[in-house]
Amino acid sequence: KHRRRIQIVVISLYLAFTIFEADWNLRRDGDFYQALGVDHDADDKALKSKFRRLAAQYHPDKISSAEARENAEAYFVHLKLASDTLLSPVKRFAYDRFGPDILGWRQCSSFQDYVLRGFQLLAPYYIGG
Amino acid sequence: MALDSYAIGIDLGTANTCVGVYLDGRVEIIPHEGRSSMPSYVAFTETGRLIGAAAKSQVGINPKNTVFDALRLIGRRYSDAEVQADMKHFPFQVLEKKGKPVISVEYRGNTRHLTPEEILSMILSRAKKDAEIYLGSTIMGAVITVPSYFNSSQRQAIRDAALISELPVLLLINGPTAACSDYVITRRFEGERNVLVADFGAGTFNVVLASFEEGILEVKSTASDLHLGGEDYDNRMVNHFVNEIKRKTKKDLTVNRRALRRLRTACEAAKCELSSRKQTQIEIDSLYDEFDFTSTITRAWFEELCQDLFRSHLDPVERVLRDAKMDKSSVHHVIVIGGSSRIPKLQTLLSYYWGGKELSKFLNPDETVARGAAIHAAIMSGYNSKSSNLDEFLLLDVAPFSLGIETAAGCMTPIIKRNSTIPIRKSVVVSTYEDNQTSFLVSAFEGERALTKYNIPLGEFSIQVSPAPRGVPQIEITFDCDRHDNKWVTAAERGTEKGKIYLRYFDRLSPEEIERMKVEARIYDAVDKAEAERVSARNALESHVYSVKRDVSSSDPRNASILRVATLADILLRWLDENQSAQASEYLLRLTGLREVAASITSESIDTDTTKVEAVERVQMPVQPIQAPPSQPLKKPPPSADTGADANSAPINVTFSAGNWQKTFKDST
Repeated sequence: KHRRRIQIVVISLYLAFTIFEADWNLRRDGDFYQALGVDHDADDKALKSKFRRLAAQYHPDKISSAEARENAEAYFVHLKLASDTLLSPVKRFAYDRFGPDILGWRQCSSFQDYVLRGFQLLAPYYIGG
Repeated sequence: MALDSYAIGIDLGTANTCVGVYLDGRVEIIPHEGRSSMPSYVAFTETGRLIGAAAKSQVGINPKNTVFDALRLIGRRYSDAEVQADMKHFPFQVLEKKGKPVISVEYRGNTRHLTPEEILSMILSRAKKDAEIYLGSTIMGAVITVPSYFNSSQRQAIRDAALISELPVLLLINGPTAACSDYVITRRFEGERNVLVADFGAGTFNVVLASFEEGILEVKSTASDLHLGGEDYDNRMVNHFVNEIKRKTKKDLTVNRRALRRLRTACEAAKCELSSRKQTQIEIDSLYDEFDFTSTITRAWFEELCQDLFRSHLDPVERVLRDAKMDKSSVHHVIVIGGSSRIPKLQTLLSYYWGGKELSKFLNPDETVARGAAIHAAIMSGYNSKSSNLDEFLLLDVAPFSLGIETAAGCMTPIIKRNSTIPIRKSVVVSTYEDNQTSFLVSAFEGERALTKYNIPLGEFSIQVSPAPRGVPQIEITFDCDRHDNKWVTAAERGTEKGKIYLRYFDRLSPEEIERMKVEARIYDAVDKAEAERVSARNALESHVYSVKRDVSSSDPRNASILRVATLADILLRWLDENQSAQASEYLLRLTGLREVAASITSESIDTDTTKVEAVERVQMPVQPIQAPPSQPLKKPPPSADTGADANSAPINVTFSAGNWQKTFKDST
């Protein structure tokens, strides 16, 4: 009986740890919502406005020193990618479900494309596991 | 607020160049010889070089050496269809040199071959000089506008032209984008505004759609029709009249280029007139074999003739809306710029397309592009005036063309799509298409066509890959494109080091060539300056001789010394007549001599003949040394002159101080 309880505790601890670890990894990498500093349920208007405010601050044209400009450029490109992804309803849908990998998926333009592609990629992983 | 260095905005146009500067919260247009824009003309003559209005005004007497429309040639290859077509209309000679067009002109008795870059650099340096004189300070750089259909090669050539004229380029932007910036900045809108700019050029039609909110102007999409513009309407009219003449008089006008050109000029003028009037006349005397051509044309007839052309203006408009995924009802403002935007039918056409929407017009449609450029110049140079809202303004521009690589069978695979906001960085993973391939060639192209052979090559390099069956190696290719048209491509097999290349157009001028052209540009400037000095020295001597003559004519003719001065003045006048193109030093020497003689008779009432004869001799002796002009003003020559004559002579300026010298030079350049 005790063995069974210990087993449950160990497994649930392990589960909690993996969930925490995955979450922590996600946080460390940062997602597009964080890049733009908005909530996951932010609407287009808030996204646009936030992007504009950040762009006005970090666009390379606004940076006077040459070294800083290169960093600013990379940062701006990331911002632009984030806002483009989140402003497109299809991409946002896919991004919310399948993560940043969707940016590399070519020939996907509709919800079905992304869902199909996502399942094709995920199915062997789960079935195999 | 006074600065010691300004940044200017230059609207470098095919026909006219306009320069603006941002001063104290508003844009000022820098005048060129009293006009708001400078004709983009450069002329070469026996004595020197003329730029701008002076060059255009003498085009009739010197057509072979007056260069215009250099913007149509720049950055193109000699074999391009556009170059070949344009050459037929040019009165100057275009030759081929290393596959690129060069313009052959006669300059001071020598034949010179000039690249379009050099011609444009002359126009740019003139714009810079005008601005320096107007602002009384140096120019730190410029934002230059280019037609939005310009590709990398043409944009790079403009940069090269600026390099030659030693004018740092802060940014190149598209003309319609600049106009749009001017519009949204001067109106200070609140809330989101979608603005569509339609630029009706002479040969092309460009449309830009941008959205403005919270100080950020984001270009959404651009589209162009490269063969639709004012000249196409002219061609329609010309063809119509050629056929009409053929029908009525059985004469073929197409074999007579001169007649054809005169007909074209008349048609163009008539077209412009029809924008403000309902009806006009074309009259050309002895157009062909004593045949006088007259015709009355109405606006309705012209609109009927060009109806299909007018209609096709809507295609690019629809394309930008589609590219931006926007509905036409969400466009708040429709702006028209360019010469043909004055055609009433085009205005009603656009207005009708938007269901009778009022088009937004500018106060100065010809200056707005330069104004926008000046605003961007102020932003880029960090000019910050409290009265302005510039520091919160930001332009998000787009890449005008797709960038991509060549994949199997010469196909173009775009990596950065056109209308992507720049700066941008994008990667793709590709693989080999042969078994055991050991090297992989990355060739980058720019353009929209499906096959690379129709697009513009930007550069190529190859990287090592480890041998494997085809499709297995993973090669990551990354494109980088920044705000200043710099492009980089990096490529590497996953897990190995990268090969990187900075892309530039294959046919660019080499640094050595640019250096050589820079030196030549300085020589041109020096020659121009010397010529200006010569002309002003000649004018100074001539006016001095006349003033001396006037003074002595009113004094006692029996006085021997006065008689002598009068004779000397006559001799000098004759000499001036015979020596139209003497050196500046020769004029100066004679001027000094004449002054000495004149001064000697004012200082002494009783003259000793010897000193004066000496002076006269010195004046007439052949010249060697270059003498600086004396800096003190001339004393009143004859003491016996009556006051009335003296007052008359007063306006003639014979003072020749250093400051004055400079002024004369500036005025005549």
